[in-house]
Amino acid sequence: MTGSTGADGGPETGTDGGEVTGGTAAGTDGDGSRAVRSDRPVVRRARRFARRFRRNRLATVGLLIVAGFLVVALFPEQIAPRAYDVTDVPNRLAPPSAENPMGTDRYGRDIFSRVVFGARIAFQVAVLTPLVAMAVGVPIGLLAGYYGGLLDDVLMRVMDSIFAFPTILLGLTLVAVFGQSLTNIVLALGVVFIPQFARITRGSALSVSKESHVKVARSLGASDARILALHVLPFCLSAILVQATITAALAIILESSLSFLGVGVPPPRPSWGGMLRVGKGFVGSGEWWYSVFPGLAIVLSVLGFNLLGDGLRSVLDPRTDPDR
Amino acid sequence: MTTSIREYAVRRLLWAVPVLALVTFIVFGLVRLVPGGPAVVMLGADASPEQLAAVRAELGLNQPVYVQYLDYIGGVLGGDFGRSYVDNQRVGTAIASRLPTTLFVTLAGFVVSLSVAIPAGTLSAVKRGTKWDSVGLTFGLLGVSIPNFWLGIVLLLTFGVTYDVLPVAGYVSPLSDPVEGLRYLILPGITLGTAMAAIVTRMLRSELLEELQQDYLDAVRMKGVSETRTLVHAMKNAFIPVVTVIGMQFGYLLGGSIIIEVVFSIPGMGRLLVNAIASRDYITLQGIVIVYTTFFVAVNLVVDLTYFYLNPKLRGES
Repeated sequence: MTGSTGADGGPETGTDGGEVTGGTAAGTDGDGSRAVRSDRPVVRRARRFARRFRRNRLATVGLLIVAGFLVVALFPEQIAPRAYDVTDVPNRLAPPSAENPMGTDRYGRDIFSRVVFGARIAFQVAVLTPLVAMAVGVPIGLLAGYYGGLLDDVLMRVMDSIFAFPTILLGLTLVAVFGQSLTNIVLALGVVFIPQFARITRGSALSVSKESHVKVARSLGASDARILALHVLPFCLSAILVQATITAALAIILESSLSFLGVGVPPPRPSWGGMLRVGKGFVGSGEWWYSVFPGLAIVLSVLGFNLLGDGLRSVLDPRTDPDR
Repeated sequence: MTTSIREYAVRRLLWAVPVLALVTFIVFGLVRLVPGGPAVVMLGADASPEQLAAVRAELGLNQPVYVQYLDYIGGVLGGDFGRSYVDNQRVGTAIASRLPTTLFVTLAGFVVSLSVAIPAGTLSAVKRGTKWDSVGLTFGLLGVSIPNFWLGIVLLLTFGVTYDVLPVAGYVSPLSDPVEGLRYLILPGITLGTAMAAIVTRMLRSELLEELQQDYLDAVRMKGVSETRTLVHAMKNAFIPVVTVIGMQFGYLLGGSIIIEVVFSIPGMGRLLVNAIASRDYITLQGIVIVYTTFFVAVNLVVDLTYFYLNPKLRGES
């Protein structure tokens, strides 16, 4: 659907390096209206981004899901009818009803309330994991892509060896060794995703480093650090942002997988995967609500991030859009 | 520019060696970072310092880490993964008896995913914009958003409680009883394969769409070749990048089998791993992680070679 966006499909980020690409980026868009609306390149690009994003229906749905999920994660006390740890043993394993819309668990706790509070852990993981991975992966990718040569080889070989662990296995091992806590899980998952960010940043940095604006900056005497920060990094950001959104979705799945295997966030804090771990034990005896609703919460939130990621990709980085 | 496949294979093998060395070293190092070290795990927190010292000496834990590492790797290369701290079993034996199970589960997921993804991706691309395409796209999106273990639980609910058609727990080796063995692998295979099926469907669709727009296909059609055979032409080329993804996914299926084995109570390496973590049996943990990653690296190696072989642009004259 994003037909021939070759020229402006490239780096579109509102930052300093703008002068150089501003010209090429605007080239394919309408010319007449630009004189009226364009204030600064940044504003113009932001506007075009918003317009394209709104036109992408699925992306908008994704954004709404993620926003709703954020509200739930921020205000669980206001949304949940009860606290997540209030037990009501006589009312244990009650099927969904008006009072307990998702039923109750083995201690009579309201599953709906626990699902609502579980959003908090899931959202923390979804936001913090990509940040941790980025903090390490992006600089590595920048250095490898910009300098190339031996440094590139060594850094990428180290990345390959992290990549050589299946993600869940690496997450399991790290948490098993360092202990179960939310911090450790976020750090472990962050490590798991470092190579993806390093690779993507390296790819972008490699091609950007060959562009003329980088050569110009260098010939004007800019330091490598300055070039990387101001003239290379900005052009990698759209790819990094797309990756971050997809990583958020994967992080939610991985965290719930770890919790399901018993190495997640320790109880009593409710995590969706942990609820499924216990709920699975009640599958045979017919208490389906115990394991269905927390799972639906995972699916919905992951779907939201995936839709958002797909949408961002087709808007920011059409070259890598699978649905071009 | 042209490289022979043999040359490439050698280069790629040489690349795999340092990666594996680094991986094993990371795992080995990680296990040494456990608070208190393995001796405390074995004896418990209230062991006396003398007991701890004795055990450390016996296990060689007071030697420098690199000496311990070289010792261990020497053993591993000869198939000796040491003995479990917890039940004194040979780790190598425990792994060897469970490895085939895990590989069968992984293979089941692989077969399910490809037999769904190849038709779905092709149909989606050929019938672009129709309801078939919407089904393919929806599947591509939902498949990656549903955690496999939850899909497994839903299948358990459906087949275990509502219908009594397929076995929902346990394992029978397909080698000893092919029919029963396959029945046991159906639900785990679906559970494990769905996410990969979704990824491959999406990828195949987009590659095929791109390929279908190429000019050479018009030349093929002009020669009077049927539409079906034209499609085969396009698919051959579309498959080249897809192979890489399929190969990488095989590795992730191997990781995914850990959780599938727990959901369906299958006695494979994954269950062994989870039990080892629960009982803090780090020697077993270390051995299993090394076996998993070795397989993972080996699969990637095979994938790269296949890619090289399939891609005429990389292959030189034979």
